[in-house]
Amino acid sequence: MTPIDLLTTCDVGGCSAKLPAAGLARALEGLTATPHPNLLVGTETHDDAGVFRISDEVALIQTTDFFTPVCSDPYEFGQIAAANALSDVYAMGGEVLTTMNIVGFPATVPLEVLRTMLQGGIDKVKEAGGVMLGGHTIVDDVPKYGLAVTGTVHPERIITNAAAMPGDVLLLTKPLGAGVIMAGHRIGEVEEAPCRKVLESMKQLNRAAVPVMQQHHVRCATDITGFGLAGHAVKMASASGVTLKINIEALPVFPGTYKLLEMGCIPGACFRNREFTDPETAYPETISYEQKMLLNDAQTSGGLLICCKPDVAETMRAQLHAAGYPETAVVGEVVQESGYGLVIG
Amino acid sequence: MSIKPTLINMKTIDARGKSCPVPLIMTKKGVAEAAADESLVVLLDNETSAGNVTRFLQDHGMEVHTQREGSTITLTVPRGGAIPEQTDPAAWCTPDPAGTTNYMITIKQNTLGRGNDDLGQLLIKGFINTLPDIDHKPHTIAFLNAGIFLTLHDSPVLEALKKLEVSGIKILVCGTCLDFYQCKDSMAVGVVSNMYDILDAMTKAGKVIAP
Repeated sequence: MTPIDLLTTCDVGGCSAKLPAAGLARALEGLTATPHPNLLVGTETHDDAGVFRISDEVALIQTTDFFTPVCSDPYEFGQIAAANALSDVYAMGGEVLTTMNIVGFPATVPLEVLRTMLQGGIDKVKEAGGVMLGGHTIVDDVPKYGLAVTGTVHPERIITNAAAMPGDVLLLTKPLGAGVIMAGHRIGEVEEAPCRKVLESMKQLNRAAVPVMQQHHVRCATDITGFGLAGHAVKMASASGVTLKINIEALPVFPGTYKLLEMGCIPGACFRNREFTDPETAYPETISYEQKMLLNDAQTSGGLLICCKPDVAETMRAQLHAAGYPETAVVGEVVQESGYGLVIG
Repeated sequence: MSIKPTLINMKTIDARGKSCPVPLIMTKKGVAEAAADESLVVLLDNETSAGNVTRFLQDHGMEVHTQREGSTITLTVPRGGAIPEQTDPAAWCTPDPAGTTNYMITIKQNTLGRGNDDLGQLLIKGFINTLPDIDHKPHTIAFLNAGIFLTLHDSPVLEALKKLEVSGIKILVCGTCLDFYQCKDSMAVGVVSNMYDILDAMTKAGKVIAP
């Protein structure tokens, strides 16, 4: 196969390519809704996926996600794009049922690259216990890949971003800084080992966290992707009518992230996300510029931000460590709505 | 100190043809290298970078003027520049307000003074931990040779250094030294620097304190 560096085909990759949240909200404003008695989670709470009840026992979770390359290797990109798309089902507390490919591909790139990329996606879907049904491919200047995913969940065990309760403890299952490290990698400022750590994390499914969440009756969680920890925290706070307090020192961070930020290696998505999150966030005076940017760094296939009861937080943290998320940390708590969606301490 | 008269006091950063976040890295480096009264000009050729660099400069309290000509976007940050002929000389004699002092500190070992090492470590710890509390802070602190150990993750003065950095004081850490001691990955505060930047800061400083 002709070796090709997928990163040479695009300017922004992964969830960094997301349309800014503020602009998206304006664009969606006033769109007609399609209400239905069986619609359990719709568009109004900006949740990770939609949920529709088809019986008293089963609700369908439906979601889609696709983006431009985040890494050089097509197989690895396929795995990451798939893991990222599947993640929304896990953030809703469900299991994956079926998937379909969504592909944009340049006519100038060899078709073996396409096949390798799709194989990466299929292998992840297999790992998720899902079934690949097909897909749709169009010609596009910049490669794009992702999935439309259908999952299932018991209607009473849905996990949303709108159920955070004051008193809940916040857990985060994967480190932050993926966007910064990958941007640094593109410009040759990151060595192989730290970059590899991020790639492995992006490929890792959030699946193993679901049984842990369900065992402890978690009802509120979200996955951290393009809007960064701050963006997704603000969305959760607003959907739940609470304030999230996050301890900046407690956040798990990929090694080397702060060093890159201090160098000025700040992905554009950080600035975009801050336009949306700054008005909703209370920062302490002691916070550094780099720490603000870290909170707003777009993650691709990031971890889950989970709200749990304080008495199970430590058990859950240990179980999540054992389930393959060794960097899981208690990062904050939920308090009564205080005028800001997010308070950093 | 430089005594060469400079008529056009301006630093130009040409980031055309570079994709994000390289223009930002170049700008940050340029800001660090420029003298406090040196105006900055950043040349760019795409709107995304221009937006991000503008935000970055504004976030750091700088005023940015934007001009577009052809495909080039020019960002200008006017700083000082003009010779203040009208200024009352007395204004130049008042002590510098905190944060705008013109001295720097170089730290070349992880102890203070010669003698017992335990005492030396205690003293350097006291020295740096006291810095955030003094009124006339340095504008730059440079760490060289074994001094760089004080900027690593396990440094006993990390908190104080982070506080100083947040307050706008430049922390320069000798890159050659980090490489030599093989601890680049453990650096936890400051920016990796080189002899050019450190020497440049030393020659421009009004005085250099070397404890």
